[in-house]
Amino acid sequence: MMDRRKIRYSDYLALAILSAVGLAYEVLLLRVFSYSQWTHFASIAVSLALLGFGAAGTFLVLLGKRVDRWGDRLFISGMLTGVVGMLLSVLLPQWVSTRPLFAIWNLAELQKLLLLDFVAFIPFFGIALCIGQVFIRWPESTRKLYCANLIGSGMGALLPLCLLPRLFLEQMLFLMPIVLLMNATTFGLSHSGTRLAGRISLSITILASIWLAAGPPKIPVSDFKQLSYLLDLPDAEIIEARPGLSNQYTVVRSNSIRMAPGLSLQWEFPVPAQDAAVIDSDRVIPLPRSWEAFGHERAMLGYAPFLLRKGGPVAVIGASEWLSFGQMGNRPVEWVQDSSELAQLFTDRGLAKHVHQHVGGARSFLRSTQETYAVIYLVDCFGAKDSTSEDYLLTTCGITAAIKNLRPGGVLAIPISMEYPPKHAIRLITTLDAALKNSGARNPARQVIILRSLTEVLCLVSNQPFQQTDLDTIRSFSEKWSFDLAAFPDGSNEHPDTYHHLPDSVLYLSAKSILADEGELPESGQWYRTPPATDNQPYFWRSMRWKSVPSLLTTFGKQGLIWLDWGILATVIKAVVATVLAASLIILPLGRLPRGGAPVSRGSVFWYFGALGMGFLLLEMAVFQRCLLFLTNPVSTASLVIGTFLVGAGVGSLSTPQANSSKAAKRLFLPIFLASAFAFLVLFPGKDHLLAFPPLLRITNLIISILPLAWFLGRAFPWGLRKLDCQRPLIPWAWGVNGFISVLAAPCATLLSIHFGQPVSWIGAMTCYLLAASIALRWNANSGTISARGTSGPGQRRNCLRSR
Amino acid sequence: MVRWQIEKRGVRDKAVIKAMRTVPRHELVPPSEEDEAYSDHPLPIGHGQTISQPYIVALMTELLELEPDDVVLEIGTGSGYQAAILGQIVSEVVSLEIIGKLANKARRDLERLGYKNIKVKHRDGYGGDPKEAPFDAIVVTAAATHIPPPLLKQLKPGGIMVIPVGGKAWTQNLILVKKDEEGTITSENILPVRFVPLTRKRR
Repeated sequence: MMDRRKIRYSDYLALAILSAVGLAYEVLLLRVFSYSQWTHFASIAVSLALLGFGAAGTFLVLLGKRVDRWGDRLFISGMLTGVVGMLLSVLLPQWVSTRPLFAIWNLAELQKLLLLDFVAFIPFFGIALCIGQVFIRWPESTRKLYCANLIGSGMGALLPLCLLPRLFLEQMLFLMPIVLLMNATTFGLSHSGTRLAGRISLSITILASIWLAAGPPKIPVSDFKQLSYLLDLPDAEIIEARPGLSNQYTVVRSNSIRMAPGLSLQWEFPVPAQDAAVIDSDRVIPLPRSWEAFGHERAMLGYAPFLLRKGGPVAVIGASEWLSFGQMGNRPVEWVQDSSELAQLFTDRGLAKHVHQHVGGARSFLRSTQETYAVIYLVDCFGAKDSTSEDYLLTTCGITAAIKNLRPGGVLAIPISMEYPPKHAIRLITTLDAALKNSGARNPARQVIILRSLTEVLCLVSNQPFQQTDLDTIRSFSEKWSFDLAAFPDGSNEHPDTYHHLPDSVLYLSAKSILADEGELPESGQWYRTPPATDNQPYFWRSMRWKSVPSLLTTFGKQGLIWLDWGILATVIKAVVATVLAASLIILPLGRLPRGGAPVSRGSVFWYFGALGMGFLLLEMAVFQRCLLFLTNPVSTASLVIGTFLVGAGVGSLSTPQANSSKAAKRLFLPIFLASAFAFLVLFPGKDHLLAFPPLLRITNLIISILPLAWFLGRAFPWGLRKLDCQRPLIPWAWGVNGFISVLAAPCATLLSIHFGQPVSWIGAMTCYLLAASIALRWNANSGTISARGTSGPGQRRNCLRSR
Repeated sequence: MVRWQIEKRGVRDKAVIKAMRTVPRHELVPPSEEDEAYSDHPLPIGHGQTISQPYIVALMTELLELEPDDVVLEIGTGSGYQAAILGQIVSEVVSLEIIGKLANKARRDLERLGYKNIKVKHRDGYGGDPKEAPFDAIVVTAAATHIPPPLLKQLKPGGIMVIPVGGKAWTQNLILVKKDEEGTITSENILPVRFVPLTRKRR
C-alpha cells in the first residue's frame, strides 16, 4: 500500500537530527582513524561518507516505487541500519586487531583492515537512505526538507567542537548511535505502522545508555603507536587521561620511560625517569616528575642555542620529545602550542611562572606578536609528521616569519631527526637557505650552524652572521660533548664526522653545496626530495621521490621499505580501493548507461555531473588544506569548512536559476568563477592579513570568503538535474556518476596538492567547472535549436518547455 | 636460510655463520610460529615482543667483532635466540630481560638446549649489570631515544656496542658504538632497521 500521508513537523525534526548525527559522525571518524590506526587513514572518513551517500542514492533508484510504498518503515530502517553500523564499528575492532604496516605484504591483514573500514561505511549508507528517501516522498516540500537537512548538518558540524573537549572518543562513538536511536524511537512511536520498530528502538536505547554509563569499550590502538609501546612496559600505568578537541591525552608512568634525544655519548650518568604525555596515541611529550635540574640537559644537543644566547626572551614553538624547559634557565619563555589540555598538564605540575603559555597556532603567533626573541626554538619539528600532513611552519614563509621575530643576532633553533640516507635534513637546509635569502642574507653559510649527534641534527640560524665568539662557544661545546659540526660559518669543520660516522659526509657536503654554493649535492643527498617547502605546497614531510624508490630498495633491500612515504602510498591504495568500491556500489548496480537524446547526450551527462563531483571535492579539500594555515586545529578546520560548504551549497541549491536560455548557463557559472577568484585572493595572496587578525575575526573572514563560493557551487547540480527532465532515465546516472567521481576526488585532491601544490588543485577544480559550463552552454544552445526546428516529440518538448 | 638470507647479504664472519647454522631457531619460537621460524622476517614471541629476523641477528653479531674469550652483555633477551648465537661464539653471555615471563622462558629454553655459558636475568637493561661489568661487547635489541650512559660506562676500552636508536616504535637506525683504548666513544650509522611490535593480548 502506498504511504500517502502528509509530511509533519516531526519528520523535519527527525531529518534534522539524523543529518546532524551523520555529519558529526564523519568528523568523529576523522579523529578515530587517526587515533587508532594511521594518521593518514583519517581522510578515509570523507571517502566512506561520500561512498555511503552515493550507494544509498543508487539503492533508492533501484527500489523505485517501493520507496513510497515502504515509506516510514524504510525511514526507520535507515536509522536502525545507521545504528547497527555505528555499534559494529565500535565493537569489531575489539575482536579484530590490525597491524596496518603488515597489510603491505600480508593479504589477511589487508582484508581485516578493509573490513573494518567498510563497516564504517554502513552508518553513512543508512543515514543517506533516510535523507534521500524524504526528497523522493515529498518533492513538493523540497525547500523545507533542504532547510531541515542543512540546519541539522550545521548543528552536526558544531557538535564535535562542543563535545570533544569534554568527552572521550569512545564516549562520543557511543553517544552518536544513542542519539540516532532516540530519534528512531521518537519517530517510530509517533507514527502508526512503525510502533513496533519504535519499541525495539527504545529497548536498544536503554541498553546502549546503560552500556555508555558503565563505560564503553576502549578504542583499541594499533600496535605501532607509541601509546601501545609505552603500555607494554612492565610497570606502566595510566595515571591520567583527558579528552580534547583535537587530541586525547594519556599520561603514562613507568620507571623505564627516559627520554633524552640528542644526549651526548660523553654523559656518564643515568637519565631520570619521566612521565610521558601521549597526545592521541603517537606523539610523546616528556612530563618531568620534578623540576629539579639533573645536569644531563646541558649535555644535550638542545642546550646549544641557550649557551649561545644566555639572556633575553625565548619563544618555544610546539611540543615534542625534544622539549626541555630545564635548558632555558630562569629567563622569560613564551611557550606557543595549540593544545589547552597540554598546557593544563604542565600547569598542574607546577610549570615555572617565567614560562608563559600561549595556546594557538604558530604562524598566527609569529605574524601577530610584537615581541622579538633572543631564541626561537621550533621543538615541534623533531616529531616527524605524516608525509600527507600540512606543516605551515617548515615552509620558506614559516621560517622567514620566525627569522623576522628574532632580535638582532638572535638564534632560531630547529631540531630534526637524522637518518641515513637523510630523509628530511637536506630539505630543511634548502628551506633555511631560501628563507635566509628571503630575509636579505647575502651569504647564508655565514648564518647557519648545524650540529649533529647520534641520530639528531640541530640547525642554528641567525638573522646576522655569527660572530667569532659564537663560533668559539659552539666549537668548545661540540668538542666537550662529542657533537659533529656539519655546517660551520668559518669553514673550519674539515672533519665533519669525527664522532658520529656516516657512510659518506652527506650532511656536510650538502650544507656546503646548498648554503655556500660549493660543489654538487652528493648522491645520497638526492635520494629524497630537496626543494624547499612553500606555503602553497606545505608538505615538508613528503620526502619520497618516485624515481628514487627502485634505488632505495636495491640499496637497502627490505629495510628500504620503511623509508618510503607510506602516507602517500596509502593514499594511492585508497584511491584504487575507492574506485573499485564506488564502481561496485554506485555505478554497476545502475546497469547500462541509457542512450540519451538531444539536447542531452549520455556522454555529456557523464562529463557534466562527473566534472561537478570532481570540481566540488577538489575545491573543498583545497580550502580545507589552506584553512589549516589559519586555524591549525584539524577538527575545527574540518567542522568550519565542511559546515560552510554544506550550508552554502544547500542554500544555494534553493536559488537555482529556472531559465533555460544560454544566459542562464552564464548566470550559473560566471558567479562561480568570480566567487572562486574572491576566495582565492583572500586565502592565498591575502594570507598575511588574515593571519594577523584575532581568532574570531579570522574565522568570520574565512566564512565570508568561502560562503559565496559554496552558495554558487550548490546551484549547478540541481540545474543540471532539471535539464534531465527531458531524459528521465538519465537522472539516476547523474547522481551515480557524481557520487562515483566524488569518492575518487577525495584521495585525488590530496595527491594533487602534495605533488603540484594547492593552487593547482584549485585550478583543477575550476577547469572541471569550466568543462561543466561549456557542456551547459551546449545543452542550452542545442535545446534552443531543437525548439526552433520543432524536432522533438510533443511530450518531450512539453517537459523541456515546462522546465523553463 | 644462511646462504640466501645471510651470506648473500654480505655477512662473512665464519664464527657467526657457523653459529647461525648450529642454533635451532625453531626451538626458540612459539610452537605456532615453528613453520615460519627460518623465514626472512621477525616473528611474534608474545608480550608484544619479537624475535628479530635472522639477517639482523647475524649482522648485529658480526658487527660486535667477537673473540672466543669475550664477555658479552645482551639487553633484551626475548626468545633467547640472539643469546644462543652469542653463546656459540664467546665464553660468557649475560642477558637482561625486563619482562619476567620472557626471562624465565628463555632461561628454561637455553638450559634445555644445553647452554651453560649464558646467564639470563630479569631486570631493566637501562642500568646494565654493574656486577658482571666490564664487557667486551654489548648488544641491545630494544630501541631507545638515547644510548643508556650506564651501558657505555660498562663497556671495556676497545669494546663495541650495537644498538638500534630512534624515537618511533618502528623506525630506528642501527648504530655501532666503539670505545677506544683511551675511552673515546664514537658511533657509526649502519642501516635503518624496523622493529614492529606484534599483536598483544587486548587489555
